[in-house]
Amino acid sequence: MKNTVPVDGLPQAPSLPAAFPIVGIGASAGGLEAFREVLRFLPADTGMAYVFVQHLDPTHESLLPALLARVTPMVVREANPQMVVEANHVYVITPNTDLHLMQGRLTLHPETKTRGQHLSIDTFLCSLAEDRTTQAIGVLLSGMASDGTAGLEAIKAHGGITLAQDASSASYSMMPQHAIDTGCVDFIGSPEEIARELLRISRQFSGQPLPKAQTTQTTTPATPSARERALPEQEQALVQMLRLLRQKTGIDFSAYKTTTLTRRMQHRMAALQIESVAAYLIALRDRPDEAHALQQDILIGVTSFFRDPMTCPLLTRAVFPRLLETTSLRAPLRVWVPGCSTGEEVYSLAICWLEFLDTYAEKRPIQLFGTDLNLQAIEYARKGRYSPEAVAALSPARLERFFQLVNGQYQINTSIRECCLFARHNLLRDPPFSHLDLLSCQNVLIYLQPTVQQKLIQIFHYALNPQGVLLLGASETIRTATELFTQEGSHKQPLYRKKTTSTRPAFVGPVSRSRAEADTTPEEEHRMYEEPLHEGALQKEADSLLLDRYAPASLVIDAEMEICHFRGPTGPYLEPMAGKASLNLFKMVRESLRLELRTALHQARKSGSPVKRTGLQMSDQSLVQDVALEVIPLKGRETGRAFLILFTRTDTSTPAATPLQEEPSTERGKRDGKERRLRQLEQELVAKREEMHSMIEEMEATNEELQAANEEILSSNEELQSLNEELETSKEEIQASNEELLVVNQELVQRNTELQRARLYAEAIVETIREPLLILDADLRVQSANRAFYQSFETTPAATEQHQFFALGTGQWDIPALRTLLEEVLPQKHSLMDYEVEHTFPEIGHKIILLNARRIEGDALILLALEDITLRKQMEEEKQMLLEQREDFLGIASHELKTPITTIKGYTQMLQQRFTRAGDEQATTLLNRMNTQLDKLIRLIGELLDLTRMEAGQLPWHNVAFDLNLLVQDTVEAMAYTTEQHQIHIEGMVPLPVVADRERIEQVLLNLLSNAIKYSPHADTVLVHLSVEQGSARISVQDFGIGIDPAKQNQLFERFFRVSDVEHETFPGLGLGLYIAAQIIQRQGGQIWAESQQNAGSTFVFTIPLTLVVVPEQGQKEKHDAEKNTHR
Amino acid sequence: MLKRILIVEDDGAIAEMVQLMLQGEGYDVDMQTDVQMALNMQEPLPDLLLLDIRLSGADGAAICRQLKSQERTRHLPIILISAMPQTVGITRETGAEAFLAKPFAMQEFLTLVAHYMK
Repeated sequence: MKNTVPVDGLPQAPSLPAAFPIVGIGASAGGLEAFREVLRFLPADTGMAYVFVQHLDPTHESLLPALLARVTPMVVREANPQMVVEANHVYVITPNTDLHLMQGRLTLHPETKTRGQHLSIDTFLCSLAEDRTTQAIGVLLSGMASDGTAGLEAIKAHGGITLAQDASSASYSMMPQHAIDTGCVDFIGSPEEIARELLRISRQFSGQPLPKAQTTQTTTPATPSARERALPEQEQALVQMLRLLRQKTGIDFSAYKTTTLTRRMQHRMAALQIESVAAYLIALRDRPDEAHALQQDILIGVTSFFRDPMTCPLLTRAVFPRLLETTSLRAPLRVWVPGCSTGEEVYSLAICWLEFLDTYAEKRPIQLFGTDLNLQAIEYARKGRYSPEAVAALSPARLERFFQLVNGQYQINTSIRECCLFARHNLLRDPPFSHLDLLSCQNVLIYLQPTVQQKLIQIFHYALNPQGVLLLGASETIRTATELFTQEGSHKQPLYRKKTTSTRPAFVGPVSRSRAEADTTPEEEHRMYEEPLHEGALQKEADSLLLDRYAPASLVIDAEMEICHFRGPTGPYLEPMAGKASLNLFKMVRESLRLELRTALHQARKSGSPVKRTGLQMSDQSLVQDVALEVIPLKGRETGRAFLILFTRTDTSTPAATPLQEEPSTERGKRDGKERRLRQLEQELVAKREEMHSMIEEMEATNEELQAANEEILSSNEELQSLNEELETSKEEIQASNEELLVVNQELVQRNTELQRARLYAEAIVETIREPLLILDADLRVQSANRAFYQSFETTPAATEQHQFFALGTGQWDIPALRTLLEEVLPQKHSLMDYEVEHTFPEIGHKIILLNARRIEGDALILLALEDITLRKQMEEEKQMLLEQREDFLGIASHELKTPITTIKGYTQMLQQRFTRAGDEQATTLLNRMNTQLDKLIRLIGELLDLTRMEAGQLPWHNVAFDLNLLVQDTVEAMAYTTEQHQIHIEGMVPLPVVADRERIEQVLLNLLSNAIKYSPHADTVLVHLSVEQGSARISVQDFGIGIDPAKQNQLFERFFRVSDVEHETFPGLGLGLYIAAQIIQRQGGQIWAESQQNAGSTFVFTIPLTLVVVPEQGQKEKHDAEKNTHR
Repeated sequence: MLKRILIVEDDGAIAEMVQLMLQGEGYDVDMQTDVQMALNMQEPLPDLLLLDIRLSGADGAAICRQLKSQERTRHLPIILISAMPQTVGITRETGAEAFLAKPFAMQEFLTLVAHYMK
């Protein structure tokens, strides 16, 4: 055990000083009386302590100590905290407390309830188990609910002893029965029996430690740990597994074949990916679902409708007709299918029966019982709903007649379901169904150990009616139980008929039955096998009495020469032989009768009529008797199968040594002759007899040899049988995994369908999309193309698919640059972006195609999209043209508008001059006004045009490198003409060319300069300053005019801003000039701002970024200046 | 002797106005709408040429460059006139003496003309 898992159940060495057993007694409703009963039978000096835990009413004072003290000489005490438990004392729980035992002391805790249930018994028994281990004894008396079961299990697990009150004596049997059902109870009995057992245990404890095997049941292998230690590791693991399974599921699988169990365990280990058995045992112990999973795995549920196609015809032919004849007409036919799994077999039998009835006029009801250990399977069977796959093998006619389609599933018709009952049933433990006409147990026995199989066969024999039929699986047999069943049909059809009489008791009780697991009282049990033998009548009893008294000595034997019945005084004729006990006729009958009997039997069997032999002499030690025997074939049974043998004595015994020669010798001569003749004959007879004897002995020797050979054959047959079962088991397991695979396959098919759908979806998109698409493989060969491709390029799949992309059409794609790019797409995972190809196609004319390609992840494929952008390009060009046309139009419009205005302005000024000279002031004033309005109009026209061009914004910017100094000079020069009053000075310089739109910058300059002149009507200087600051050219225009209100300075560059408060009339315009200027400078990446003081003038500054500093080849001076500038 | 000014302008109304304006100042003013005639102007050359840039069927700037490139007319002062706004730098391009944007103020115009009549 050192190396294996510390699964619970191994007792730890108790570290108690003075160890004596402590008995924990749990009771609830009706338990007090039972406990008093127990105490009544216990003396004062058992050497054990008793702790009585009862579910008490929390609201009442407990009178228990007083009540108990009346019936026991022991000291009764109410439990107190820290009370040391002493031997020969009785301790009683107090209300509202949970009692614990710790190192021999009682501890009290407030009572806890789990899901509203009292679990005080469990609580105490568990602590008892831990504290006393092997010296813990748990007793569960009458009560309801299931408290105490877990406690008993704990005691059991720690090597203690468990007892429970039997159902018949308990007022409420639920609580003890629950524990009994889990198989953890060692002893079951009435209170008195429990007391006696306790006494016996106490004696054993006081003597030496109790060998546990005496108290535990014999069939459960899981209990004694000593036994476990002796087993090899593998088996030990198996035993532990079985115990865990039994603890968790309540099912004892120990009857199963070791190979099956090992294989199923390995299967689970594989499923959980656990490699060592030890680890699996831990998993089995700790994982909540594992026990269930393992249980399901062991209970292989392989079944199907009409699984063995031979079964139904066989039943219809050989079984059903006879059942109809031999059974009473009104009673329903009873059929039991143990191990029915999900019910297919049951329903198949029902269908088979109904179909059989079609050929008969009368209708017989049938009652089928389907039982299985697997509750889930039973529930499934009850529903009777099967998937289309499950019923696939059924003929359409059967489906039509016996099934209904419900929600895509096939439901068995109610008429069939009504005659089928399903129940959970443990074949190995629960009592069988009885009075059965047919018992179908296919492929159940193969999982079980041979001894268990044999027992089950006996149970089946009991369960069947006379003439009842047992149906087994193809590789199952009744083994050696030939006295119980006769085989019908061939070996391939495992059909057995019950024999009516038997030398053995018909019912042997459940297989793994023990007192602990018995579900029936002994009386019931007795009744179970007495009943069929009695068959009722008094008359028969009288007959048998008479027979016993007056009948001659007789034997009933069967075909195998086994004696079935003894009647009368058969003793003289029989003699037990030395060696193995046998009921064989020839082994029992006295030797002197053997020969005659054999011949007589032979004759009787041949003729079928009674054969009589008289005048036989039988010598028994000193006596020789004349004996007659008669062999009568029994009627009412198959001829020659059974015989009645009658022995009769024909004279009184004479001394054996009757000397013939002592007769008086009268009539000597005559007699001498006769005597001589007689002697001669006698001697001859003796010789013959001896001869015959030796022959017979020879024959018997041969016979025995044959027998031995036969036995050998039988045993090898058994070996083959078990091999066959093994194979069948494997087959079923394979079938089970096959079903799993089918499910997996179905899943895969499903996935496949989904994939197919996704593919169609993608394909539909590719086909619908209006952009031509090509899929190229790694060699840039076209794998496929979509419809848009064929339509756009007016080509066919034949001319496209599997062709090199570069060879398509007239080789228009064979452009070296494109080839390189495409070839890089796959290995380097590049994408090809917007590659433009212009080509005149023979079919579709001149086109501009935009190519985009990318790798399709996962495949070595390229998706190539070819977008025809010819139209787009055209439209863009047209749009550009329109823009240019508009620009032209604006130019012309401006020109054409200005032309007449120029004329008007000219004449106005001339008139003004004339009237001024003539001194007509009124006319001069009018003309002045007119002139002002004209200026306003001119300015408006100019600004409108500028704005329109700006807002359109789509005019290309003609950025060029130019000399800013020169532009400033030119602009200033041009402005100088417009004013006589102002001198415009230029200071500083920008030593580097700027890159910008020259005309726009000029427009800005013009605007700033004209503003400077306009807003400084009383000044005579405008300063223009050029410099380089922080990588930008800086140009400032400074005037000394009216200045700008600081509050308004930040609005200067807004649209429609005007300096309106001062001499409004003097400064016409829309106020768009600075707005436009700001827009231009911002577009060029520069900044523009104003610095101003009211009535001191304004400075407008703008910057243009100097991009790359490339010093042009110019004069030395400029270069020098540039250096100076940068150093500044 | 009166100073003579030649106006090449295809818009009659402007030409007439300018003529009146200049005659008012005492100049002898000729008008020419035919560009070819302007190019092949006969001796004696005028003292000043007022040349519109945008002419129907011809480019005033080109004429100006041509005149400035001919030895015979190289020293003839030329003032370019146009309603086109962005013509800064055109004097440098064409070699013209000055540029005047339409519409112009009379005083401004006469000052400019007087400047080249010295």
